[in-house]
Amino acid sequence: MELFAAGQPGLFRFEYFFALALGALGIYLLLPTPRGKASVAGSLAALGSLGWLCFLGLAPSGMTVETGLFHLFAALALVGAVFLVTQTNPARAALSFVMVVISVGGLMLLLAAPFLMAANMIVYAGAIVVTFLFVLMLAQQGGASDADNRSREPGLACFTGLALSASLLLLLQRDQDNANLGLGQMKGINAPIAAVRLKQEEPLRREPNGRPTAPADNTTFLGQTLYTSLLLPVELAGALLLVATAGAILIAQRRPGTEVTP
Amino acid sequence: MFEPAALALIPLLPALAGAVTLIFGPKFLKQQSHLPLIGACIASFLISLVAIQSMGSESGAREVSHHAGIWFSTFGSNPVNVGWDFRLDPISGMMVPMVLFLATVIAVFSTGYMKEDPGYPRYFGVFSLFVAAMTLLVLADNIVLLYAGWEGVGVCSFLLIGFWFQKPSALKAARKAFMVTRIGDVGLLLGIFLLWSGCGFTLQIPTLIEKARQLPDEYLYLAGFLLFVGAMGKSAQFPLHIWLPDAMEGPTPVSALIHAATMVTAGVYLIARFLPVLTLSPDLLLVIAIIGGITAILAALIALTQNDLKRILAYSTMSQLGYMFMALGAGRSDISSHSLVTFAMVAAMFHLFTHAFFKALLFLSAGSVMHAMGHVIDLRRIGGLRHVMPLTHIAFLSGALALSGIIPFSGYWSKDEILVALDAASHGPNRDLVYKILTWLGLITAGLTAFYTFRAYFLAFWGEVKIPVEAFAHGHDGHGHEKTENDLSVNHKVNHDPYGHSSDPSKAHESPLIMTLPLMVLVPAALGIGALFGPTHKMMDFLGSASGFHQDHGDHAASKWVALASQVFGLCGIAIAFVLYVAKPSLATSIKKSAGVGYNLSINRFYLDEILTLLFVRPLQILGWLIQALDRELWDRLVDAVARIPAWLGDKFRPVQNGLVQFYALAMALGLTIFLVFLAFGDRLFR
Amino acid sequence: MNQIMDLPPGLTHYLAVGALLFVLGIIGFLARRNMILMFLNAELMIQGVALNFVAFARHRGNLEGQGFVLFLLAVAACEAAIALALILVLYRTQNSLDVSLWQNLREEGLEPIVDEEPLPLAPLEEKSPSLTVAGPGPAQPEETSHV
Repeated sequence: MELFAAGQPGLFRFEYFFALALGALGIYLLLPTPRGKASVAGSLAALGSLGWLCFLGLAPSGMTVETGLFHLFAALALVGAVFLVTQTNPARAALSFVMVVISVGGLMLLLAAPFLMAANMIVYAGAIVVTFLFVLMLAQQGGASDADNRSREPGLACFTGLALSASLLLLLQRDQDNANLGLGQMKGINAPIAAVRLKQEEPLRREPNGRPTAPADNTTFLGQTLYTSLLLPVELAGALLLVATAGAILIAQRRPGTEVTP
Repeated sequence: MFEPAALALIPLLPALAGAVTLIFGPKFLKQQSHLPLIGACIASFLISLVAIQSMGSESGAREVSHHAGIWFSTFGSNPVNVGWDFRLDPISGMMVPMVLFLATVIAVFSTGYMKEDPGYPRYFGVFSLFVAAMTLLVLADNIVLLYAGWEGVGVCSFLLIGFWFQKPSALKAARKAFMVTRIGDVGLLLGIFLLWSGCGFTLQIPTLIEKARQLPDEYLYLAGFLLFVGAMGKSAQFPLHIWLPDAMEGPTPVSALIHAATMVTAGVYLIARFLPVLTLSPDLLLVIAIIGGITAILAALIALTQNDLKRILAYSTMSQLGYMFMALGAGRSDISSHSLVTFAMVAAMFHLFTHAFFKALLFLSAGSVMHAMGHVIDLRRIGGLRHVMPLTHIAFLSGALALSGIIPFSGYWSKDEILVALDAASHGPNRDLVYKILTWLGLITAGLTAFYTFRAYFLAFWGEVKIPVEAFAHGHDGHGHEKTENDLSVNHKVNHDPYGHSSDPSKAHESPLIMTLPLMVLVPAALGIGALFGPTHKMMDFLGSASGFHQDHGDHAASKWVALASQVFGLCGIAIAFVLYVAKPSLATSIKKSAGVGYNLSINRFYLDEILTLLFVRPLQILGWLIQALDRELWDRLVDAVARIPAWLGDKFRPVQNGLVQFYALAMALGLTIFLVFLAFGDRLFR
Repeated sequence: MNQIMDLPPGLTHYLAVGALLFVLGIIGFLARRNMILMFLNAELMIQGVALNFVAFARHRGNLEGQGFVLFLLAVAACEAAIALALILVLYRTQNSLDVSLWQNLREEGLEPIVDEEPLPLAPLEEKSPSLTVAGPGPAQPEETSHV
């Protein structure tokens, strides 16, 4: 079943909006405030929202292993993200970010990108998060702090998130509508993404129904691409990393007499 | 023998001199700033003489022309290619050496007159530019180049009238001259456009003249009239004459060169140049003649009562220019017996020629008087100067005799030709009455001219010795004058000054040699040049060979009576002046009293300035005031209001900049949302 | 219809997950005040974007999207390095990770935004897992909740 297939073409299905609003409400409740947070209600609302969205067709409904894994990783990623957003303890938030990264890695694997999965996990879970934790240790604060126990305008933030996610889903829906209506030949900014068909000369294998399958030697192709057509950007990225390293060292250097206390 | 390309040098050398003087004068040349000008003038003068010789040696077309490349071109269906085209034909061949000779003489005079003036380099720089523009004007072979020279002399005139820009009156006079001549210039420009479009989009003057003969009468009349409007502005003809008397605010040598001898005659030159065509429209000729006549008699009447020596000379210039236009207007070709075109043109140009010399002499003499008298030029405050300034006295007397047209001095020969031409024109088939009246106007004007010239002469040089106090205040050290507003502001005090009338005449002095020498050079020129060229028909031979004209030795002796009549009128004028201002001065005052209304009219210049102000300046001022009020009260406020909107908005949105990173991120996210919604619905909104 | 039922998840499903991750990152970035958490949320957004890229790469059957994600990783690493260095510097000056302390770039004449509601005195929950302070550590003055 295609996403949004049940919807009236061209009209936003308000069920999505209500589901998203429920999720936004849950996150609002979960966000830390000086009065504490309504963990139970918030969790229920967030989970309910996720379930509602699945029910509405945001999740694929096939009964294959791939679909099941997609459900698993997507749900883990979203739940981890909600944890990350709502945790009072920064260390816990960092750990839930690791969860998100691992889940996204799983999704990447489903998308036939094993190298990226590995790279993502090594760079994020292995390097960045560890650095974050180091900094957290360096900047450890005692007791409840403003920074962790107080949110800056949670209502406004949730409203913005609602508006943004609603408009994104709206776009996706319209895109699907256009594809369903056979507007695949449309050009320009409103050409539906879902209707884009593969070029014939692609080196990837295909399934009998036309979908490309996961190529066996994806990593080989990626490596070839990186060191042939993308060589210059790769070198530039390397230079960028070098500069960033030098910059980070320079910035973080402790210089006597330069500390300002406003 | 003569390389035609050298023609381009004639305007080029003074232009270079001007550039050099203006750039290097204030720092390096300083009191030697006159050297480039005088050198360039002499060189150009010699070149022009050689050029005329070579022109004369050729048979057939007596002219030298040179095309020194393209100045600028335009694109389009009728491309205009304006070249640096120079042509020396008899008409310009008469003008160019005259201009350069007078410029040289007057430049030499100026070195004495302008000595120690802080603007010395500027004076000679602009002077050089004027000479360049004037020679460009007369040498131009295409009409755009002529117009460029025309505007060039206008600008230089403006700059020189306003030379002492600290004086408000000089500034005002400069502006007035510029604005009034601008009216004429617009007419000239429109006339040029009409001729250009009517004559197959050619710019060359000979071709224009040739093609314009085929134009319809009304078209020709309109185009010619517009050209004449330009000439009226430049040559100070009624009613565009009001700028010339005020132009006397400039340094006197400038008045001599620009506002007497050369620039103001540019209009006469222009009309004479186009006379072969303009003569095809008799109505236009009549207009020219009538305007000339009105100007001549009006200016003479005004000059009768003026007390400012320079103004008298200015009005006299106007009057003589009116004469020239009368002569041009007499160039009828519709007289059955023979065409008067050449004769009229020669008469006008001849008078222009002689007038340039004696009027320059008169102005320089006046300048010499001013120089010696500490810039006092009021005839009521000077007198008896013939004992104090003998050389100047001789110079002025020579000029006055020439101007009055006394036989055998220059003025007689040229003025006589004009009167003869007018008389001959009055024997035509129709319109003869008008020309008859004009002839008599000319005669009366001749008498008036003699009278007012000699009135000025007697007042200034005869009678008891009167020397204003300024002469001692500023002139006792033998040279130098400080021209400031102060000179003018003390005028009214002088009558009560103990030194005013009892001063020792020996303390006043003749001008230095550098100033009297040019006068002495000009005296024989002013006196004899008419006799040299007039009765010997040299002028006729020379000018008559210009293209479009023909030799005309037709016998106009039948009208010799006008010569006699003009002598009678002129001598009578002199005699009356002598009686009134030397023999019996009391009579003059009694006449002044009895002639109340006329006297007032004359001394107030027939209120023409006031009338024109009332008719044109005031409505324009009111209009300008209205527009200004509208602009200030309505549009400016609207614009200000619009300008306040961003400020107001900015004030309202200032708190958004609260320095908190997350608010900026919020704005970004909301903006992204709006963008996405637009992306989703845009095709429906803007279908 | 049945045929379609058995299809694996399509492009739009991945895009939807990526969008939701991105939006959650935005919500966290807007709502949280700990600078480190804000940057973690920014990384979360990047994860959503990376998922989008990979999904497109899979959908179109080429590798440009995957290559782009690699660069995204490089940029994210740089960003993390610089950001953490900056956070360290900021922490040294204020002894706090609260981003609300940094409002100096606000418009002239504007009062800084101050929270009125007081914090509870006791921490709401025990901190676990808690990390020990690394190194000698800066001298830790009493944190004054002046914002």
